Amino acid sequence: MAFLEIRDLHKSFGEVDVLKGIDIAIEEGGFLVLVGPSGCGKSTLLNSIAGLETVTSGEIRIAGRAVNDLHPSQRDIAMVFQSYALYPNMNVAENIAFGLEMRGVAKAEREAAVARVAEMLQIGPLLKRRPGQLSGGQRQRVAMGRALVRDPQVFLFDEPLSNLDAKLRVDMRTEIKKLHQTLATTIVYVTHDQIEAMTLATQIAVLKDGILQQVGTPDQVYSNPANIFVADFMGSPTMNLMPASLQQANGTTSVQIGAVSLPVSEPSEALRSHAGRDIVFGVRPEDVTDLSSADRSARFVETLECGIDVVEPTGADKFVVTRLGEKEVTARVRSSERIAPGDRVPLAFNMDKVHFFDPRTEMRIN
Amino acid sequence: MSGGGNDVALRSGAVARAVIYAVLIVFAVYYLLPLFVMLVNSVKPLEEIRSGNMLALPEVFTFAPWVQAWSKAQIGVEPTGLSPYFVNSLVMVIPAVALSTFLGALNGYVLTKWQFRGHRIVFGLMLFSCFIPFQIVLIPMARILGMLGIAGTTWGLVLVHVVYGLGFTTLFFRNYYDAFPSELIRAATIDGAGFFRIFRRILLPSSGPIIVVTVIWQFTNVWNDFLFGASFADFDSQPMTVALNNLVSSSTGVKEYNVHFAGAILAALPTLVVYVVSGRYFVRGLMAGAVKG
Ligand SMILES: Nc1ncnc2c1ncn2[C@@H]1O[C@H](COP(=O)(O)OP(=O)(O)O)[C@@H](O)[C@H]1O
Ligand SMILES: [Mg+2]
Repeated sequence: MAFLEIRDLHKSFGEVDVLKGIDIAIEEGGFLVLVGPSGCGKSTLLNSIAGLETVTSGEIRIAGRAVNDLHPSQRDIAMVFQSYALYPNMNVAENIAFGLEMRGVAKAEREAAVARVAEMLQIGPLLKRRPGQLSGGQRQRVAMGRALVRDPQVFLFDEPLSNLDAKLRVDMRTEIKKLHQTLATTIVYVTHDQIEAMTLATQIAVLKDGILQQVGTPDQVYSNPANIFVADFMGSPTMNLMPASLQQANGTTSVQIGAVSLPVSEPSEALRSHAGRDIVFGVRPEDVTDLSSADRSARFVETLECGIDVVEPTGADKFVVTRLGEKEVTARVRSSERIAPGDRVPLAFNMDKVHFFDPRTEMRIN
Repeated sequence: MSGGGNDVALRSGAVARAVIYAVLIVFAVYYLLPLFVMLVNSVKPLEEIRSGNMLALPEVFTFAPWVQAWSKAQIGVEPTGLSPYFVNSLVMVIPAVALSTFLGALNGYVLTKWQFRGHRIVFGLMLFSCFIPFQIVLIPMARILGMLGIAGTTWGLVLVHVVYGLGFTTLFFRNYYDAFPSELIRAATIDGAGFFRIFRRILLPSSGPIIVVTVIWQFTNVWNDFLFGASFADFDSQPMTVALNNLVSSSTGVKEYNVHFAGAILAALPTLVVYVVSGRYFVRGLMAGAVKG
């Protein structure tokens, strides 16, 4: 049975429906990342789990126990906030110990717990300082310390890294992952950053306008996006998506993009039923490459001569922008490839990893 | 050419500075003059005031008018001086200020962090109470004090001032707490702190500036109030302002201006002290509210 279970959760603020029937389950020790654009209801969902918002309908169970009617302090959860929410009038040690103090833990025990957490997060030298005297990264650690010290059943993180600069963000991301591997406590983590979601999660839940778009492992969400929104949202640079039509002639199926035609290998039943109709064709930049970087394990690779408009070196790779039909297509090539704007070069399309969507429903065609 | 321009700029800067200082000094003198006249004449014998110049320094220096005003002057029927009334005022002002500040803080806390259906209307009505003139509440208030059986008592006056001050104190604290991050309240809730513990442990320790503003505001208003004191106090609960009026306007005998001056200074002293001690925080608190709210 799932450790944290959310069933048909609805939440409205007055007239506005913010969460419209959320169903998620996560195993004990899992790392669930809620990802979606700003304003889609991630924080509201997290706050509902915490009990900071009352839900309109639906059920939340933690470790088999329905917690809907429990006060936040009785749900055995701890939360790290985006603003860190450190109490400004208390020093770091007092901040970390506050939750224990409220629960009537004896002073000696509290001090031992604070020392243990300070050791784990390497914030021992900061214990006597006020939050105002700490850097952003240090505050972040203290906020985590305050959650860790309680040893809860579930950790809730609301965009904990979004106030840090890029370098620190990557470091802390790794640290959170390590922490999760050490503690093996169940985590629900909110972010609008899909890279954070991919790197941290054991389960990703993509949310848009209060509706779950897809729940799955990072690989499922990335390789088999359920709809155009997920395909577009996950991945950087984003997936190339373009209007196309599906043609069937002489027993072969092909996708027609402007003047270009690409044969589709082993089309599924569902895909063939779209023959003669408009579809949305998708391919990720890493699946459009120079010939020598083409995936050797791919069974079907199509080569197209393409005119290059823009070249963007990133160091490790080069992204080049070409055009298929009317739409721009980004491709990833080796950084050693000598390509300049205006060149015409052959690009390899990995046809094993292309995606088709129904333009009307926006759903994936499997 | 450009050097000459700089010279002109420098000189005109100096001129502007001189003008500003001159204006400032004129205003400072203008505001200090009454205090000067009061101080100087409160330490002169009466004859010297009668015969001489109000602005002149005393020829004979005496504290007798101060002693007279404080403990001997005829006020009403008793020759008690102002001292018992000074005590009356203190005994009334301190609880009135403390209660109205505390309740204002609590109201501000609820109106921003524990919002309920209709909280805007409640706040709007409280704000509205700030604009109700004193005179309008006199008769209803007299009825209520009578019904409660505290008419003419110090506690009656305390109630009047708490009720009347609540609109202002609530406004101050509401605006201050509105800028206070709600995530702190949420964090404390998860940590297991309840309504009052969050208030006492998280909000109050961060409320220094606004408490100072509110205390100064309330202290000045309540201490200086005359109308409520004259309307609702008996002889044994009359505040300083009413006693001062009785001292100055007593119709018997000669007008002892030096005693009146000393009495007026005594009446103004507590508010002066409050301003001097915490004026800095007052400005800081007002700015904090202005910038954040
Ligand atoms: N207390 C509230 N009252 C009314 N609307 C709210 C409230 N809190 C959030 N919302 C609305 O709910 C939507 C989702 O908000 P939120 O969960 O904070 O989004 P996210 O965290 O994904 O950015 C937003 O449109 C927001 O305006
Ligand atoms: Mg949010």
